[in-house]
Amino acid sequence: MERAGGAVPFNSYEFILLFFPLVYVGLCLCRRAGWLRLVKLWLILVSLGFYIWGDPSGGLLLLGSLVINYLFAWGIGREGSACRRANDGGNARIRVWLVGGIGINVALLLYFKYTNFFLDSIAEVLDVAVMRLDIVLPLGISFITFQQIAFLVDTYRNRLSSIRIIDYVLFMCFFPQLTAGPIVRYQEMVPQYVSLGRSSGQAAAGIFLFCIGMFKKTVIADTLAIWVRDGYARSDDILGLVDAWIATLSYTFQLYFDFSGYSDMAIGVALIMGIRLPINFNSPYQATSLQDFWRRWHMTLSAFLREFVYVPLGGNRQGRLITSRNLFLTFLIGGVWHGAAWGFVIWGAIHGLALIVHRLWQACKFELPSWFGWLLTFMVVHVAWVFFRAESADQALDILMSLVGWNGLGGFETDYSMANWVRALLGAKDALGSRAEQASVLVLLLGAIWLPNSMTLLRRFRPSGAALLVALGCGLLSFFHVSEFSDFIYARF
Amino acid sequence: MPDFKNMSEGMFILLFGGIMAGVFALSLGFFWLDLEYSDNDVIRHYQIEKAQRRVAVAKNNVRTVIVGDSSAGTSIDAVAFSRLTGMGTENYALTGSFGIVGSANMLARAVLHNPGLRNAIIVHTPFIWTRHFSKQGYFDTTPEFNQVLPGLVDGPLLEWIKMALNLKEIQWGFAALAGGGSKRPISAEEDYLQSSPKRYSNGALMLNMRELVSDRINDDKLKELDVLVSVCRRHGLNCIFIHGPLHTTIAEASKTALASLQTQLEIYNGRNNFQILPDYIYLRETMVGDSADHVDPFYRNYVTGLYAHRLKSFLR
Repeated sequence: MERAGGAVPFNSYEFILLFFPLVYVGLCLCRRAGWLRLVKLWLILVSLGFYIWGDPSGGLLLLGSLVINYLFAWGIGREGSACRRANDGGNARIRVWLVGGIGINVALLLYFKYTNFFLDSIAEVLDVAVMRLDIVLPLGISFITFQQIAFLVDTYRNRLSSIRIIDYVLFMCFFPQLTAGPIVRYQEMVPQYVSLGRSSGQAAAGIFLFCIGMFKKTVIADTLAIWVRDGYARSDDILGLVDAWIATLSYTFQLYFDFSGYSDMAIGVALIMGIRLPINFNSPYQATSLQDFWRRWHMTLSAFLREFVYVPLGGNRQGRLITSRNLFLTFLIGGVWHGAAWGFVIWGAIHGLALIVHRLWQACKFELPSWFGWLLTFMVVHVAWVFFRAESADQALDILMSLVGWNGLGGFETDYSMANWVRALLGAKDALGSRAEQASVLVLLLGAIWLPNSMTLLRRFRPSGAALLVALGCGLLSFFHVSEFSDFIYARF
Repeated sequence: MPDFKNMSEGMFILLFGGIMAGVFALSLGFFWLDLEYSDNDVIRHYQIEKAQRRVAVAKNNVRTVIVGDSSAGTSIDAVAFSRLTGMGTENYALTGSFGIVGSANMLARAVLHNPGLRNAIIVHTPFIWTRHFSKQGYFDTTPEFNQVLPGLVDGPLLEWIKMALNLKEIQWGFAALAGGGSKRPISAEEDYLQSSPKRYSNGALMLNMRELVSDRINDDKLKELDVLVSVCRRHGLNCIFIHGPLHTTIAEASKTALASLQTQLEIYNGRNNFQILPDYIYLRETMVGDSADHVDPFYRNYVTGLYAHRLKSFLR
């Protein structure tokens, strides 16, 4: 799937030294003028500019999507009011508006994201040549679609007291979360607009969080990315057990530090402007069950899937079998949402199946020691990420075989013989080469996931010398590591 | 004295912003000083100064210029090449880090200082084609700062700011001041960076057969090649691109990839006086220098002869 150019990363010089200072100065000037509407207009303008900067061709689609969804929301609201005035209990007409609106959003997503995947699959199954369409995936379409659907449903459920077009457009376009979340709800964003640009004691906290996020992304995730790339690129050859674990563990951590780093930066940027975005991660690798994992990983997506897929399917109210079906379908949809590839489908299916097993296990009332629950959860998540990252199911299976030692202990670069391990233990630095260093870093990271996460640090934040040192240390080290080819993994979805 | 245990939000932001600005100013200062930290700095300073110095002493005398990466620097001796072709020749080769745009820029500089220039010989190792666009290489060598390369960089000013505020400048700067870094001196005899004594032939280097030539060409490199072709066209130069030499064992094992590279590059042949020759010069192990695509200084004149023999009929 060809993707549009890509958003300007928060960790780029362009964003930090050019775009954001300009936005913030403009925001303060508008605020000083004392006209909130001007503040909102300014933010809409720069948000649209931010989107078009990353994806010029997608700008028109975004504008079209805004107009269409606003019209449908207006239609739902008008019909709802009419029904209430006439005391008409029938919601058929409102439902038509709702289904129409959701249908258009889903159709757009299906067309842009899945058409070629569908054509390729047909070609493969029927063994015929099918011409692919020249489709460019608009920036952030998956996140935008989910947010639009949530907005229409909230309008339908009469949760939104009044919808002003300016608030709606700003809610949809707000640049810190426009392209890769967190997925936000209209009713949690709009009431905060009064504090836009106000010095509410949050700017320092925002800077602090932004620096931590940037450190996670540029120092940790981007370093791991090199090991991941090397390991997965070598999987065509024989990948030994040690190298396979290094490559896959690196990806497990890369994904977490990349996406949670991005989320921290998005939340930090919004906080500097006076807006509090919902948290997206809460130490997911500390989870002691898969259910627990999904309460901690990409929390805004999990909440969306629960409310708009799992519950409408029937949730857990219709017996064990139907609940299992609902769980499986929800995670399958979650997998497909991430991308048009079989790897994502398998990843979703693994999580769905594992959650079904977890529920059955719970029903039997067997208790596992928490350390074993953690290990089991981590391993399921870890193995599932192999399918998420691999370029094909075959590659994923090759790596899984290597993970269980099918292809021997070591890679072809390093001698993992017993003699060399002994030399390494005796302090010979060259005994195991860089692989040993990588392995030790991964062990340290495994330890680091038990440290307080950035949201805990944010809660504890008070402007102080220690906090300043942390922010400066993270910020400077990050600038030291900013590389040219470092986009966010989730910006691809 | 601020209370560091409990400071106000304003003080936090002020200190944060002030210290960050100070660090960036330090980076800018080192960028401005342009100290020599690595081989790349040494050879860049040397070749640019050489180009300017030669104007004063040998005006209009240079008919042919050689540009390229280290495979050009180690394999062609300008004096011997001048003698063999009967045309005044200069070698302004840099290293692979500067990419093909670095060569294009050195060519533009050569034209600037040698109005009588007719021929340009561009020599690049076959390993170069997989690399990304050399932004730093481009901005470090460009004679015209305002030149915009569509599709390659965001714009000269923004790119310049990014380079100047790269905090690694501080690391490099302090290391250079302390006499550190990975610098090799210029060898007057080789008219290039001094060759390392590590050789395949003396067992100090081992062939790594995982590092064969790839048949993949990075789009960035084709865009760089476009820049080079446009310099040739703009100045009416007779440009001949020839591949750098290769260790025989690597070349034999990469035969298919080398043929494929040539096929892919064929579209550039004959475009605006630009030719790409299909030849590859294979080096016996004893002739290989400190890298699989470098020539041992002892065999430099011999390899220069091979290149001169091949190129002479193309020169004007």
